[in-house]
Amino acid sequence: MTDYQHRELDAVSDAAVYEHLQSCADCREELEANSALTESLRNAFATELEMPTSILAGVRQAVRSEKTPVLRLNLRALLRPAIFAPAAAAIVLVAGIASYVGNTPTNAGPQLSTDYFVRQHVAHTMSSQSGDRAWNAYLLTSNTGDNANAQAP
Amino acid sequence: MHKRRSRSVLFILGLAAVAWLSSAGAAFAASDGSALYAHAVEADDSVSYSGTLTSVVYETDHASSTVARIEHKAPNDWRIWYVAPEDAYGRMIVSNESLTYQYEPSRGRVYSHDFNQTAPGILAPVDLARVEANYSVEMGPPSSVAGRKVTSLSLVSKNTGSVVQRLWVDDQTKLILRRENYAADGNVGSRSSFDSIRIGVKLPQALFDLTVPAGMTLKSGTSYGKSTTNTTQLIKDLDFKFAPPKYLPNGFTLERGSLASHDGVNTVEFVYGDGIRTFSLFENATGRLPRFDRGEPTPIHIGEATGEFAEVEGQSLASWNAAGLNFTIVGDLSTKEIAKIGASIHP
Repeated sequence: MTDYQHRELDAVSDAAVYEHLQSCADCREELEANSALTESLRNAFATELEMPTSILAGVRQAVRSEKTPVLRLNLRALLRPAIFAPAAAAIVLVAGIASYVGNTPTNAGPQLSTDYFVRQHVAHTMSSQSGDRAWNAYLLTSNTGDNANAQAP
Repeated sequence: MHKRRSRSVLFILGLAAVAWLSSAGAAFAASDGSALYAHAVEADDSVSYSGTLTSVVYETDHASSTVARIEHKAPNDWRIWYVAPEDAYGRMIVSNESLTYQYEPSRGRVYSHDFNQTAPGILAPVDLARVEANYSVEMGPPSSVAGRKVTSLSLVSKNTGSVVQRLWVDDQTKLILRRENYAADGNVGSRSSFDSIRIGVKLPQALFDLTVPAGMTLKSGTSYGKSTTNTTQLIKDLDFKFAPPKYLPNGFTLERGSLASHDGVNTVEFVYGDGIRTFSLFENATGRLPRFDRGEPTPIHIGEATGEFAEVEGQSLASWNAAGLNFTIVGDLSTKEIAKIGASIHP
């Protein structure tokens, strides 16, 4: 039942369990109880809990005080000619190959955002005025930017 | 002995009768489910109402919720007032399903959206034949939503056996009072449900007038590519060579396409669907992966390329580069399906 609930079954077993559920009130009840529990857990963990600032400050302090000497030692080791020279040559070689291969992503052209693609998809596939996607913020114009074509809120 | 045999025979006959009745019942429920579904998707064309709707969209690491007051005058007038989240409070949408005004009182602006051009799905009737070809519509037990008696419908894919959507349909008016969309991994991707609703309310037409109040300025809203079913012409007009997918999941077909220019980039979008599930394939000549503003991307192998994958706003999104082009797929698909579709594209 747990595998069914989490979509872990193959299509045939999944269909068999689904069919069984249509006629077995006990199993249906068990599934609903499990779903309710999962939902409660999801809701419980949906809220982000923040650590007290005093603990965060302490952790940051500890990280800073430990990291500096280790970083310095590592840098010194890396800058030794025996390591630095071959590493630099390898970096130059890799960069050359990357610029030669046409399939490699470049940073020269404009870059769209994932939000742009999702907004276009939602706009072109929404099918109901009252559906959960219809008045989704993705479709609306930004409430903060002056540009009417700015990112959605 | 005789009695025992008689009992056995009766027992077997009883089992056979139960089996026959349940199979007949299932067939009846399925055809009944399809009929109810057909009524449900058209109910708001003839039923006016006023109610409060809560929508939740689940993402990988959080969920976002919207609460809106909806006033609908059948067949096409809508007035939607946002109550939550806090940063949307006061926003109002007035629409006649063709032209839509988005009122933003905090900025003194009204944004105009022409969804007639960009969102043909709102006006187009649901393709019931396609839905029936790809899904079985199963009726569930009666329950209640917002204090009204409803019947639940589960749309089960005939190709994968998975439940893709569940609807709770008002027994009296056939309005959909609750809807759950399931992601490709089986989890709930989004959910919307009426907390309260009043049916048949008399709403004055003035509520739906598309006017700009004094002190507010009318501006054009976010632009989207104009949707067309003439995809052959769309491909001819491109300034790069479009590479189509040779594989589509069972039941999916090409529905329409559009071309949009954003930040100087011409991007073509083709929408594919099976009646319920949809996905969009985007191609442009940037050869550059998009910026992931939300969601931490993970690597995904598409044929010989390695791209990036993330869940964004309840949608699967994968992007990769090949032959100087960028390909991005967004929709209700599993990573396996995306990888298979992507690998079948040969630019």
